Amino acid sequence: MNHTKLIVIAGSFTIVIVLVIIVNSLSVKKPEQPISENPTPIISQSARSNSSNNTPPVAHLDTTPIPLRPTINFADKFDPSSQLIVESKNSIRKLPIPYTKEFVASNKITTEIVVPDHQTNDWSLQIYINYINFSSQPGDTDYESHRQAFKETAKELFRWMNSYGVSPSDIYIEWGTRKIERDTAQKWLTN
Amino acid sequence: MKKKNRNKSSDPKFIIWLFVIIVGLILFQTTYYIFTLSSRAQTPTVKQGNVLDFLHTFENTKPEDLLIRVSPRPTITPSIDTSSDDSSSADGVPNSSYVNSKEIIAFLASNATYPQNIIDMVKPCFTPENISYYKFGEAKTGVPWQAFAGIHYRESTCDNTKSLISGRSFGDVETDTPIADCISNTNPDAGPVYNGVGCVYKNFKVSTLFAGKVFKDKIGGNPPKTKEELIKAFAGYNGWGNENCTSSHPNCYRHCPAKFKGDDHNYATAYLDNDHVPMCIRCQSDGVCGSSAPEARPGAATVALIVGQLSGGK
Repeated sequence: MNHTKLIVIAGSFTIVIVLVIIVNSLSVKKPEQPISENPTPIISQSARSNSSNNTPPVAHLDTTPIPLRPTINFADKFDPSSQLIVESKNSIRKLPIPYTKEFVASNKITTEIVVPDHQTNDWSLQIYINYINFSSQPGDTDYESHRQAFKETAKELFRWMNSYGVSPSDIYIEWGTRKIERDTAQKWLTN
Repeated sequence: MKKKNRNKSSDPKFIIWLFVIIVGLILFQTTYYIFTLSSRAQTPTVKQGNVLDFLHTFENTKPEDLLIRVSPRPTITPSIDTSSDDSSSADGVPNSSYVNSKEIIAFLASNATYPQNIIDMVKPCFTPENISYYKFGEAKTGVPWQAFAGIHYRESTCDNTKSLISGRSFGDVETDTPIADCISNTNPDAGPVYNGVGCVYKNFKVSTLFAGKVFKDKIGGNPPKTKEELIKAFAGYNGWGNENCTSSHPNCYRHCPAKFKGDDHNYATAYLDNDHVPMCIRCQSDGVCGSSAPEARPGAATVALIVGQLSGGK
């Protein structure tokens, strides 16, 4: 009888212990990576919030050519009746602006296309691609991912233009106002 | 007989032992979960000591002086020159019919009280001349005048000889304005003009006008209607790259992920409230984002609130 009770107690104890171990092992998640005080790879906030598996977004090199804007040499006398300006003006008229669209690139970075109303003139189009770090330089941890996100966003913008029968190469586009934005955008579109 | 007695006494003991074992295991499990949850809830990014280290980077400032409190706001009303706030000026730009939303008005009338050293930093913005131009900007663009103070502070510490675009002196070539934005303008009172090299802003007024346009364009072309839009516009005005949640610096913003776009951007929200102390500058200048440094100056939204308070809400 004592042996039976002992077996029952030991059995119950063993079963409960096994259950505890199973429950614990199922509930334990991978420990979060310790945050170093040294600089770590920088991922945009959007990328962080969108990628739940803690894997950094991979920048796939996009080599598809992107149409270039018309070249205007401002050193020459500005001619508002030139063919480039007239074509640009006519193309812009076909677009329904203002236009705003949020876009998620293949590397999970969220961007935003903003084509504001009330443009400074009727022959150029100011376009903002928000949430892109245009100050990032080659070698910076977010350079490739932001470059990739920008290029994909630009293509999305061009698809929107095409849907209205407008070729982006016919429009004089200003990518933001700050010099760093404009220069970086132009560099990324051509490389 | 002996065996019978032992059976009677051992049954309750068996039940008690079984009960003790189960209760013990339940306690063990509960303790385990409490321990697990509390360790997950700890903020992993910053050590406690780092906050004080950061605060002590300010000379002659005690850490407690940097706390932002809520109390009745001070009312200081300077005599504001409104002579430049007329619609008959040479700019030819019509006044905006836009009326600020109740949410923006309420936000800019916040009664947070800021440390004296932060208020002192903002005081150069609160001169009758500057405020008259900020209010001119509001009248023409619909952007709240306090926002112009915030931009002007961040770009040039409210120097009345320097622009709101990037802090360059009036008359100098402004490289942060595309030539397309000035080449066809012939009225230097209405916008920047082309001088053969680049765009030039004639004066404070023109700079304010154009800053208002750029500010609105960042969020689609209309003045901000909410606190979130206002802060997003400030962040966009500076450029996306300074979001503190993308930094691994231990003394940066510690409330990641950001509640909304721009909330973790030092240009916009540094010192706005206790949640925004400390913050960091990620990009020290255009094209230089290599390392983060502590942000010592208030963000544009903070400046906007302070100048609003200094004006007594007028």
